[in-house]
Amino acid sequence: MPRLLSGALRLRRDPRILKLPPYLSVLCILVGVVWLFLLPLDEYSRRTYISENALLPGQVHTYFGGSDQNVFRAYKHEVNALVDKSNIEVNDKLESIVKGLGLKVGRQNFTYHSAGNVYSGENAYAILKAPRGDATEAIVLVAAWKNVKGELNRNGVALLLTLARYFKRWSLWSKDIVFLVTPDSIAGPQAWVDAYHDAHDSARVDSLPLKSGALQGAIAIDYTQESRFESVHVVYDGVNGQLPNLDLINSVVNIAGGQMGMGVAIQEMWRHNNQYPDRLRTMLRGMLKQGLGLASGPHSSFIPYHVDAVTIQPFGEGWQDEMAMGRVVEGTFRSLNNLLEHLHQSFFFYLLMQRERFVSIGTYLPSAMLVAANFTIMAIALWVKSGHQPSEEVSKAVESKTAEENPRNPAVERDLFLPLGFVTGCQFLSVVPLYLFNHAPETILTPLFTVFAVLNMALPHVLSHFLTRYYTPTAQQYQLIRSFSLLLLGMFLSSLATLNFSLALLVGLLTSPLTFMQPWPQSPVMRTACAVLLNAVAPTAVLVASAAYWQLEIGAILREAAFAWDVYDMYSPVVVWCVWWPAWLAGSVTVLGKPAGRRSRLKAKAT
Amino acid sequence: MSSRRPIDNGTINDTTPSKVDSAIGQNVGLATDDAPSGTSKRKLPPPEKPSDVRRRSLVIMSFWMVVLCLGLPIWWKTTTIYRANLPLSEMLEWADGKACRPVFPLRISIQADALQEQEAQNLLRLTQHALDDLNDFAGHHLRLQLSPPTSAADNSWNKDDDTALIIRLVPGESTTATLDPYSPVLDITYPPNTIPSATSSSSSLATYVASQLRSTFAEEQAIISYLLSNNSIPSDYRPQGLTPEAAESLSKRTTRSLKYAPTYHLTFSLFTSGPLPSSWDIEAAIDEYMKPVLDVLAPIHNFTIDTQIQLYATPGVQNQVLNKEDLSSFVNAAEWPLSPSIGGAPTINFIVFVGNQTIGATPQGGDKSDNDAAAVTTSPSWLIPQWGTVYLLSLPFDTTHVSAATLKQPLLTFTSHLLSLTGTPQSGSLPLRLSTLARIRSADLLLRASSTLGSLARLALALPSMSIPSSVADGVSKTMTHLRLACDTLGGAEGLAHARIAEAEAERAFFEKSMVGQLYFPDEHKLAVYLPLLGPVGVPLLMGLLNEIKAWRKRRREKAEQGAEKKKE
Amino acid sequence: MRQFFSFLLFSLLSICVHPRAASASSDYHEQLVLRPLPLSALLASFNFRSNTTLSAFEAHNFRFFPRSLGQILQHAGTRELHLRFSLGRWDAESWGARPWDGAREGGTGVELWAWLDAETDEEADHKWLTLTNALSGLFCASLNFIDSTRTTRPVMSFQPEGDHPNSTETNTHLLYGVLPHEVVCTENLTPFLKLLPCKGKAGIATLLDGHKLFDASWQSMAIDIRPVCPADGECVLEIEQTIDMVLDIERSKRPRGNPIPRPPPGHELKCDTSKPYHADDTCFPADYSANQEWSLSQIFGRTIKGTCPLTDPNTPPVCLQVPESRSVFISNGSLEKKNADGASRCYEIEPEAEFEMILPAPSDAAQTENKAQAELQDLVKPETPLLYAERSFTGHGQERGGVQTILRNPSPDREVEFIYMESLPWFMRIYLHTIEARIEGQSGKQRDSLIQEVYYRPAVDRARGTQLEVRMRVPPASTVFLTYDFEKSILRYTEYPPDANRGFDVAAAVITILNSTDSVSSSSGRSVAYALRTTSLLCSLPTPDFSMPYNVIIFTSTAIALAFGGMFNILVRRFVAADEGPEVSLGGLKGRLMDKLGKLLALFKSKGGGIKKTE
Repeated sequence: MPRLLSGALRLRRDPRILKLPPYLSVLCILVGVVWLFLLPLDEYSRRTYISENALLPGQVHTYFGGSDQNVFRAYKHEVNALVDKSNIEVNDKLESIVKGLGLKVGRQNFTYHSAGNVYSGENAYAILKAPRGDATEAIVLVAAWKNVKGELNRNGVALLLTLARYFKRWSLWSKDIVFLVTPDSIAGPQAWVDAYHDAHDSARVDSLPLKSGALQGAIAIDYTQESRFESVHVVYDGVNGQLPNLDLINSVVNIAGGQMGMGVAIQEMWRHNNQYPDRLRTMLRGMLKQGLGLASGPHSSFIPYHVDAVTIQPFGEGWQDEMAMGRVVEGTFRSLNNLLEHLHQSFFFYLLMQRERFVSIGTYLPSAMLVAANFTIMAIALWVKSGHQPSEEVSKAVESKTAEENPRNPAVERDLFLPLGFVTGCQFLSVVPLYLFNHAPETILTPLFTVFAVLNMALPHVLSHFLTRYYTPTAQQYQLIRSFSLLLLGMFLSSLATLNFSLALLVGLLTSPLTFMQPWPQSPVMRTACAVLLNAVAPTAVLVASAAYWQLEIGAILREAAFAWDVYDMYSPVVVWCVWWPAWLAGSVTVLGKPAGRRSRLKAKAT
Repeated sequence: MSSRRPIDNGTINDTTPSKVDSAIGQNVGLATDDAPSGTSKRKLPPPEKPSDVRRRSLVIMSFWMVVLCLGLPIWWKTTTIYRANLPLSEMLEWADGKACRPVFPLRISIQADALQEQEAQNLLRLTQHALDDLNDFAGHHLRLQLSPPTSAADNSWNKDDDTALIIRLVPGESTTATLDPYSPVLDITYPPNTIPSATSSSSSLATYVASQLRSTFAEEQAIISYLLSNNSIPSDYRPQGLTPEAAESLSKRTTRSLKYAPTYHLTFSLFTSGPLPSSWDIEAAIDEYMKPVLDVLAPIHNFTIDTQIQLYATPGVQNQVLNKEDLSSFVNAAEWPLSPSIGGAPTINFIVFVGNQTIGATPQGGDKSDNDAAAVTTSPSWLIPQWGTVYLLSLPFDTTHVSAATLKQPLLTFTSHLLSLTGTPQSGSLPLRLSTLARIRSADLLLRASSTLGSLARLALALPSMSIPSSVADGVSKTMTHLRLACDTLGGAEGLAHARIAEAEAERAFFEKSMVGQLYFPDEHKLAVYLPLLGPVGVPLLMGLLNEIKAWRKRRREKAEQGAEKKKE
Repeated sequence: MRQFFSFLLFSLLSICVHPRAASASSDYHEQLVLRPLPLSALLASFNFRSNTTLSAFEAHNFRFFPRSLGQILQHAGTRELHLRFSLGRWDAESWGARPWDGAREGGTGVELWAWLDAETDEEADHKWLTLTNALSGLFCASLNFIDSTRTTRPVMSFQPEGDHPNSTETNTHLLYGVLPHEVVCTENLTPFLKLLPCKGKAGIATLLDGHKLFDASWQSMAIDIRPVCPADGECVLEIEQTIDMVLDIERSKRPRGNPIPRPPPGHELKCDTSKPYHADDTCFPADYSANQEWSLSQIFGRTIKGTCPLTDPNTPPVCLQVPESRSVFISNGSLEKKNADGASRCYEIEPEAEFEMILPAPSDAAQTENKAQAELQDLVKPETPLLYAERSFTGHGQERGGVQTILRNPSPDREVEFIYMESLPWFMRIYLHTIEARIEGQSGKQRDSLIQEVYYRPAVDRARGTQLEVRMRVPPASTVFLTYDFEKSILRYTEYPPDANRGFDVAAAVITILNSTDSVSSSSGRSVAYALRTTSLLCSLPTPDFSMPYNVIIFTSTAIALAFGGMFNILVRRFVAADEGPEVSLGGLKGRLMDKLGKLLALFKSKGGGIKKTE
């Protein structure tokens, strides 16, 4: 055994090893991507199942309906009367109605500043005390006045009122029920949840006048559609790609799909024939949403606090009416009410590819890890290689025989100062765009971005010129620069993959070209080609491309990003500017670099 | 490289043709290598300094020292289950009854004031003979003695000496035997002519006395022999004359009577089906009708008394006339607050149920000697084995207060039932019965304690992984000492006391809680805990040791060779 | 509420403030007080009180006093005992002050405190153990789980209610235990009823039905046993059993047959017809809190069956607290007595007859507009309590958290002084230095001015819980925030309950308001004016994944093994220069392979041929 060990140690001195890494990296990337595309197959994905037995979804008969329809209509009238009234007036009216039902009502003001805009409003919420409970646990029913798209959530709010009145009649609740109406779908819930957990900045967000116990789950109703609907759409993406417990989604799917006999869709796949292409599309959409880490509804803000939540929105033309929607909510609440423990049984890390198929983290994580690993491998290889005199340097005068006799490149000592300095410099430089884009007012966001994009293209040239001009770095130093930046990249991505798999994978794929960049002192063709390629996968370029693809304007995207950053601490910008961008910068500088030969440098030193 | 090979081969060939194959192999190996003469170029490591070698061996040794001298003992100490060593063999002996043969010497003194000394002696001897002829049971055996003639004035027997019975011989016109109801005295009158002469070898009077005694102690003997036969007593003590039906009735009686306890809680409850009556004179009634018996029982049992009144109590059986099946289910255990009192002592319930229900079908005989173990009935009350008594008292519905006079009959019934519940024999005068009770109880306790010891010993043998705390051990030792004492002083008061202690100790030792703790720890778990630790740590240690030993061997061999070479030169 | 209380004083010589007032004149009282509350709730408080002379008690002669309980008391040397089973929350904002001024209620779950006779603390603990075990058997509650970690010895919060001879004061120990997680249910009510002389068979106890009781919005069962020594006559031992419940009238009027609140048929809906859009299929529901007609049989599902014959004849068994104006229908044979205060009336009941009472809805004139006013004039106005208290957790995460109690003093002119007591489980390690009290609106810490006295008994891991008693005051018409931080400790994995992910219940805080006296001296001796409990909390601890204990073992031992192996090798191995070791390389490997191959070939071929071949 010790001999083998020493053998392995000595193997690394074999030159053939140094030729392997690029191929290894390619292999890693390929396997990673292929792996991802295998996931939707039946062999790799699994059927969903309820692992928390207490939930018993769809086991109870739901009674919402009948004359509650009349009440609903009445409340609908009330809500319609409130359209384009001010937030305060709306809350006044709602408060009077809910007080009439005999519930305690609280209100909360919040004000957020982001990208020069002010997002302020007032949340109104009511607490239905569990008849026999003791304020230790609670579940939340949210209806935002306006949904994410800004449409008025008339039916949602009316349904919430009706359900409040209906739930009051039951005596079986073991947990308090909180009815929350927020003016908008992102800031309002965020403010409320923060205040509920006393994690709020009291300058911007008021504390809550009344509270209940620990939140066990939340359901948001997003019901803007006026006509009868066909099936419901479950939105489950949380902030920063966090996901609710799979059991919650399963129970909603089980109740809506199984009990109520309505269709259930996820990730805006309105039609889904459970085949490979659809599954793949669903999964990719899910990954994209997760990667962006944007809040996708009122439920998103709950998830960071380990409160499992989903938004239910009806869609399609069908024969299901508001009562059916109400029954779905009722059924889900009955299930949550059964919970003895906080949801913990099922998965928190998963990719859904159909409402009843998923892959768990153990299955999908390797692909991202492989992609991240390729950087690390390359970095290590470069480090090792930089320790040897590059073969070109060996004098051509020595004929092959002696070369054979002395195959091993003599070890040379690495001078680390310049590479380290450069890489750290890039990292620090990355703070600039982060700050700029998160604090610039909305109006100047677009121009700012264009300027930055242009500068961004110029920057590598400037830097490399600067480098060659003053430092004349050797090939070894370029190798070290690449090695360090790739090392950092690999490190960041592999750790990020456990938090936000999709983001790590996206960045990993977009930065994968960096692995193979190297200075081309001889062939300008290759150099320009590489430079172009790199500019194509630059963060700015990718941003522009995606904006063009989804017909959004840059300004809106940046505003959203800034808002997310300010309100609910989305960390995707950090990843883009502080992980991706510096690596890109280092890579492109190396591509443009003109390594000075060792001897020439010595000469320069001599003279 | 192919150009070079023949030469090599040649050279090798002429030196050692036999090694061709291996040589070829070697050459191939060398030739294909990047450094053709790599091995030649490699320099060998300088020879190790002996100090280093010694140090290494010391290091390895110290590691092993730590493991062996520190690790193993600690591990052993912390993981072994403490088992106090019990005198298993002796315990089993007790269980098999080999350790003690219960013998009840009953001393019976004869007062024959009317007779002269040697007459009396003679009579006594004859009677003793007669008794020994009659007696067939070694365990239980009567010994006569002549009490010093006392003045006829005081015929009170003095408690302090432990004579079981006093026979008072009084001359009369015919031979009669009467048992004094309030003291253990048997009065026998005899016509003067029946006095045996000093020479006569047999006498009608002697045989008569003997038979009287025998009949007096027949029941006790039966009971004790029954107890013995139920335990694993070797058959040589076994009584022969125990008829099966007698045995059956005895077993009935023993099942009916409560397990022995030094203290009993007596709970007197007044249950009424309606709101009335709501008070009763129970204290007075108890003092009047029950106290005497309790006082007499005092040396054997202590009693604590509490009373309660429960209104609106619905019995378990609603129908008007109760027949035998109803009696057992009459007590409404779910509704009635008859919870056994806290503290170890068992509770005996005496229930006066005020209602208009009556017992139909009065069973045959209707007396305690009836063979119905489920519920022995004496209308209007019945005894529930090992539990207590229910007495149906029918009162005019508007009585609010139950007087002591009304409670007379119930309490008398309770008293008699109490006796049978405590397992007192039913024949003979009261004092006799009580002294008998003491003897029976001590025998019973003795046997139970020893059987408990036996089962404890068997348990300890059966479960090797069971921990045995030291408390159990000294419990056992205490039990055995007291058993020994009890066995020696059997039949006496202190014998009973010792038996009591022994039984209590044995029970405590047997039901020690900490003995079951370790019991169910499967070995797979131990493996799962130890293996991952011992594997990775143990393997390097072992390898190191083996390598060291090998190296040491090698060194020795080299030394030997060098020595040999030295010799050669 | 105040008059409610004084009225109780009057009606049943209540002893909970003036023990001496209670004389052993009659041995058994029972009374039911009904009191409609706002939001269509009904407070029903049952009170049963019976006493036995101490002499009879010592002689084990039990008449009205339950034997089962008496034995326990004697066996555990208990002088005074208070046992509480509570469920739900008292909604102080709308219902006002608590019944009995909070003296007859406990926090959610089970609460038990008792004064025991004992020479030493150990003896007291031992007796406490036997007491809890015996009681748990008697009441089918898991009181036996009140172990040392859940037991505290309050110093300021509780004063004995009974009269104890001063001689024994020295060696009586007060122990207090609480089980917040215990779910009170029917199996606790049945033994409770068994303790009554008339069981549930006669008198007001016939109304007590498990289904109704535990459907209540708030309910509390209390048992208080205390020795009472009247100035004249001998001392008696008094047991008082109280059940207070707040019933939601609409919910409990639902027939037992179908408890499911199916939506009523459209035409039965009470609609607000004033709405413009009102139609057959559109109905804005009329206000929920409009108080409606109810009757005993509707609320409790049955009527009162006569009276318990043992009860004191001059205590009216049923009292109702509504203004004079309301009209009440009662079954004939029973007669009504209005009380002087004009806010209550009592009823004498025929011994055998069934008693039914109907409270019709107030006249519709009051119904039309501003219902709040109408309701207030139809009900006895709830009296505002001395203090509002609300407790909640602050912060989130598994490592540390905080507790915040909001104490509001409603009275405009009267300062409230009280004792705030927390008994926390040991795994909540509180940081005492972080405890602070501040008045809302004012910045800075008024800790010293508000908190007057702190008694703190720190927790010992796995042995005893934290005990914190704070004597503090709240200035008139102001709100005080009392906050402190704590750290959550990690349990051993056998210490987690089966439902570890639910969280761990933290018992309610006990707030005892003292009668304001000039002497700001020690709190002992000052009588209790009002007591209230906060709600209990649910504290979530870091919870491992119990499915894989062996993974942990394997991980740790692997780490150990790595460390050990490295060290061992460094110590034992010999290190030589790289080119001094034996040659190993790909070439070497290949060479060895070829070697084997050559051997194979040679095996097949003849020697010379073999050589030729290799040429």
